[in-house]
Amino acid sequence: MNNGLRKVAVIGAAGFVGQFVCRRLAESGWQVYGAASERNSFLLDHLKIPAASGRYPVVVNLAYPTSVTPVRRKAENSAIVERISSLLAPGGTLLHTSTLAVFGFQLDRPVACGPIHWRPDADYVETKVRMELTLAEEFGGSHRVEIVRLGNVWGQGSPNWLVGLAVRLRDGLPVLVKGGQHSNVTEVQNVAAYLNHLANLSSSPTAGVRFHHLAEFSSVPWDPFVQMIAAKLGVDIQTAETPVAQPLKSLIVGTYVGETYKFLNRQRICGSLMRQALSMLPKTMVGSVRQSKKSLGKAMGDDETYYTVMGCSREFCSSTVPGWQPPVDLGTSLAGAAKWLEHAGFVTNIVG
Amino acid sequence: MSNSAIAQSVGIIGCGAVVQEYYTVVLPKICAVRIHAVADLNPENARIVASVTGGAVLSAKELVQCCNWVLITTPPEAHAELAAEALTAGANVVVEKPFVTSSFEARRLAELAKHLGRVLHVAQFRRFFPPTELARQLLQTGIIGSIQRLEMFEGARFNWSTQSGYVGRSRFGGVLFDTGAHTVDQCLYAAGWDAIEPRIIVESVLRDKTEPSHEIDCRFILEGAHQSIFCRLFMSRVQTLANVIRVIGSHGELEFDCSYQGGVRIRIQGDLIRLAPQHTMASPTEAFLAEYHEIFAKPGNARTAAHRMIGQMTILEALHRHE
Repeated sequence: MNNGLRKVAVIGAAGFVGQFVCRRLAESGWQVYGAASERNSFLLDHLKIPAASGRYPVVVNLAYPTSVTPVRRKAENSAIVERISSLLAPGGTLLHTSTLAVFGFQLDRPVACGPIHWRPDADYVETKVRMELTLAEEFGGSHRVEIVRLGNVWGQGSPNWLVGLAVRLRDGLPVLVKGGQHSNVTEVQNVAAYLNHLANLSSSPTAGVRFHHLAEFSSVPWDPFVQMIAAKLGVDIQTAETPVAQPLKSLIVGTYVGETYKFLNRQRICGSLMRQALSMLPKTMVGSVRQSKKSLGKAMGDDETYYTVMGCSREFCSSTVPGWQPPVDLGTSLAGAAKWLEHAGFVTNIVG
Repeated sequence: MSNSAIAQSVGIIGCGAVVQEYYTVVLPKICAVRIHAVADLNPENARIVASVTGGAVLSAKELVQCCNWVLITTPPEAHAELAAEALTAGANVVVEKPFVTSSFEARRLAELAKHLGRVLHVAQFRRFFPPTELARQLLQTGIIGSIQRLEMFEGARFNWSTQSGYVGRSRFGGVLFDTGAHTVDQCLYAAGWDAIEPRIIVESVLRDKTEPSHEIDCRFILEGAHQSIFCRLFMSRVQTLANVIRVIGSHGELEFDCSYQGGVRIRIQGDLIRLAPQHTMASPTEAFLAEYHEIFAKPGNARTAAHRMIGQMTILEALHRHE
């Protein structure tokens, strides 16, 4: 293979998934170049990879908007698309990671492996759907675009689903949710392996868009994950009730205005319309709204999001290219996570 | 200049991210404080902070001559020289963490302040975090017996926007001096070792790269107060860690969260007790406010007085030097 074809740029290289992806690609013989946000681009030297500049035959995008304010997410999406445009060589391959959340927080829409149309939805979902559609439209005609929707990314150092669960268990907060049947989990090492596999298929790219789903442990409930952590930490497991819809009382005119705003903002239809209206206001005005409603931009409270995911009764089945097998099985994944909890200081591991 | 002046005339040297995000929010809430002047090598940073605070833009040399309190918030290499200049000019001084870059400088500055009759503080605002304070109070009761070991684990992907970029360039910008200055300080403060100048024996230091490193794992022994304590310090700015400080005693262990939120967990003979602080904080800004209230209310006697930071500098310096 031509050496030039083995160059890959990873956007979001300094992040949790990014570090695994960069290592996997490098092990596989790729010359890896990293792109990270301005704040933490200096962390690329930890990975011992150079900063990306120029054009690359393969670009992996792991970046996503992180702003808590819905109005800003649109702009962040645009910045990511611009970054991809600046790095992707003509006719090259784009590997974009998306999320199961494009189907809604509770997977309450048909989970099909293909393009989905934009629709008004909760702001986080909207942002992700918009990104998929924009990339398909912008690059699909002239590049090979692989959109990989990820399940709940678990694994060594996973901020949400390993550290998050461990912290909740440590603090005695409810972890398991009654009614939750599917963890819809994917192991981060399998994510890295799958993206590497797709990158390796790029020697004869064909323009077009393909969708993939990766959640190889989708059918496994959360129980074994939680039980492993609880056993490691030596704590009991608290179980929560299935999450219920927000009471309508917060919509009654005359109640606390902020609560009403929050309620509207997190709703799928009216919240979307409100965000659309906000995005059309002059920038100076949006700035002042953002300032005054800073804490309300988060579409869902932490606990609410958490319980919704943990209480999921729908399965997000994997759909990957034929012949690919995840290299890390559940037992290995759990053992690795258990070891990592010691490494990260969740349990006493000092030898004095 | 008097320490007890009613309206303290404050000057800020260094107008980077910490000033723009915290100081400009907190200081105006302290009625005994008036920001008289600001200084920064980057004129744009100085202008931004001046426009928010109403202070005049001056050079550092001019500023120390006309303020009775000087807050130093530059990258750490400049702290010692600027603090000495300000103290010599007659001002009281608050230095942002990390205090300085060596225990020699720390001791020299603390002695200089004492000699000149000035006040010198280090802005270790995490001492005001409720879980840290609760842990200190509990440990003072002797609930876990005599302290045998200390473990510190703090890590998260770096997400702080520095104006100077020193965290990626300066030898003292690595995770050890940047975040470790907080974590080590919280640990010593909670364990009641902050006023002790310990002897340190470094067993091993593993870092991801030469300084400024992003990840560092240290094992060392502290000797002082007729005791030897085995310590582990693991810091990262590239991965999330447990973010706890654990104190292991002869009768049990106590663990507390590094954050302003969270609580304390005590494990004695297999039983786990979770304790939440009575006073909680909605944001770290509250700790900042509490810190500066105390500094201006009890100058020299506050819990952030510089002479209580020398032990911390001894540890950071030894770990930093260890290859």
